[in-house]
Amino acid sequence: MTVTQAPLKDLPPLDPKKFRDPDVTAKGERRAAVGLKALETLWINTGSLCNLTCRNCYIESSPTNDRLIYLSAAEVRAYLDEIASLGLPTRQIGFTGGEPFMNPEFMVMVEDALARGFEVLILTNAMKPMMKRRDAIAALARRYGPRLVLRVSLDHYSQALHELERGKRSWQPALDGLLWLVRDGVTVHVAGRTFWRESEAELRAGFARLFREHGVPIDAADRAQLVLFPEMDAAADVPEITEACWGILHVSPDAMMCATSRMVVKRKGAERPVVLPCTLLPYDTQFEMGPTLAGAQGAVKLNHPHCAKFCVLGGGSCSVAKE
Amino acid sequence: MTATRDLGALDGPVLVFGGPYGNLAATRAVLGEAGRLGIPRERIVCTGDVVAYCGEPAETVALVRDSGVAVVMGNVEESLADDAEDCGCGFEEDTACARLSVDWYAFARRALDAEAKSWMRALPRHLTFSLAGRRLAVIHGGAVAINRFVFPSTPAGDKRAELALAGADGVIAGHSGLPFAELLGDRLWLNAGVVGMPANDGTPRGWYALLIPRVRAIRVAFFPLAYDHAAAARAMAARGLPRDYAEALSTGLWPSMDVLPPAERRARGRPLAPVDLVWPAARVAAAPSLTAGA
Repeated sequence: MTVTQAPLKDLPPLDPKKFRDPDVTAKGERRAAVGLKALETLWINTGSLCNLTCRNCYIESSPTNDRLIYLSAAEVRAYLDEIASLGLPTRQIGFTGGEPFMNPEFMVMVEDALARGFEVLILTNAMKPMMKRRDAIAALARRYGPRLVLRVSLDHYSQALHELERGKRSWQPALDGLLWLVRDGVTVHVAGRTFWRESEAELRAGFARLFREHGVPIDAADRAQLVLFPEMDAAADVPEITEACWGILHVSPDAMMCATSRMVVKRKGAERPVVLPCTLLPYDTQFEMGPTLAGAQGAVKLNHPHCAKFCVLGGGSCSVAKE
Repeated sequence: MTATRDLGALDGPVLVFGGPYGNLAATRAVLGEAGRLGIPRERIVCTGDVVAYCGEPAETVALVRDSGVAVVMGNVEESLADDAEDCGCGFEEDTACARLSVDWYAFARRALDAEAKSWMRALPRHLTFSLAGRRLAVIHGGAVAINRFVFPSTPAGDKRAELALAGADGVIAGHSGLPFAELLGDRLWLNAGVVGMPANDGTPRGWYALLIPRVRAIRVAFFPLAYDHAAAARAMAARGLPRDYAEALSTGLWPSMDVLPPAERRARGRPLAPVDLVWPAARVAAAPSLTAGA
């Protein structure tokens, strides 16, 4: 194939016999499933549109991808109501996209969630769409303090490597946005990536220098304040996850994202939003769990290569890293 | 002449570029990118044809030579080092390429001094290195024929045969001027493209590639190179070179498609997208472990 025809995610070819039957693996073993332990975090995907087109964006966000359309504040409110009526133990509402601040009703959603006592985590690139809402963000931060956290994507502590992934002229606006948040007393975290043959210690040291230089109050050694997403290696083939894997790997199903999270999306052309098990499978309809949280309490069968690659083997999730 | 130079085991991202083509501005730009990315000269590889269509051959040779990056001999270097009468591309007589090449080649032959030509003569025909456990061979055209054109549409069997001749897990080639990568089973064919001419895609961009080692794979990522192409065109005009290739620097369209197979001719004027490819390590036979994925 040529450069123009070689999307990353199609390579390498996966064994076509794998990830077919939701209950049984290609080898005939029982596929692992993860039950919902407690819905701690409800993710809201505000829409897949973004002001950037990053290399290898797992959700393929871009200025033209509107496969996940903007949720309305009323639609989000219905889910917050449902959390209350079901008495779910949800403590956090996470907002992701796309770039959430591009959603025209976004600030209403954020205020609704904060007013009901939830912690709110917003994943943003801190660029122009966010800066347009600076007054509203500052007002919410004054009122709700550290219950509101903005996690800014800085792929690397150097401009050159950040822009390698996120495009030319993407560094300074992001840094300016981060520093504006800091100066206005907004609680900030940073999400980076490991992709350049650097150890985690080197990366954290580099971010620590950047934070010190600019007076950013983030402890670069803290895995929640500076989240580093690991390089997701594409093995020649991804193993399927069976019920025996938990014991072999010493991984608990309760540690998987889908044990504590769900995500709400609204597909283009759909009448209403739908609940999905996690943030990583926004487009695969076999994982749809229906329109309500009440109907989304069941176990998730790990029937997608991402389940193996990102979660069970890779240790990556969009959850806040917890010690 | 040196047949093969081994760069040893490289332990970080490798920047690969081809075809400086006497385009000083573009060559400065790609070396500048390497500097910005913190890639040292030990991990920069050029696939040859330091001199061709553009207006500053002597300056470009000096820049590439003094930068200390690893360069594999191109057919132009081979011809100039021998003081041959033509560029050695192997164009058919009376084709547009042949007519156009007479001018730039004669100009470059006059512009380069004996020292530049002896530097060219000393260039290796093959470079080898290992990265993330894989053996890579850098060649200009084919493993034996320095002026063999290998295009995206070249049959996979031909590429496999070249890979076998090169004796490597992956081949990095130049010469054809179009960036592309192709996985052939668990082997890789990579052409990083060239910086000195656009990719016939209707944009003025040159191209280079990064090979980024990962835990069990190598990420191959293509990047467009923006540079001051107007300055390069002015340099060509100032030296009285024909306008065809000078115009190509801004239009992004080659003045001659003589060497292009039908598929590549059809792709003319279609802007290339910067994409990635993951070249996985050989199939992992053992049971997965947490350390392997961490």
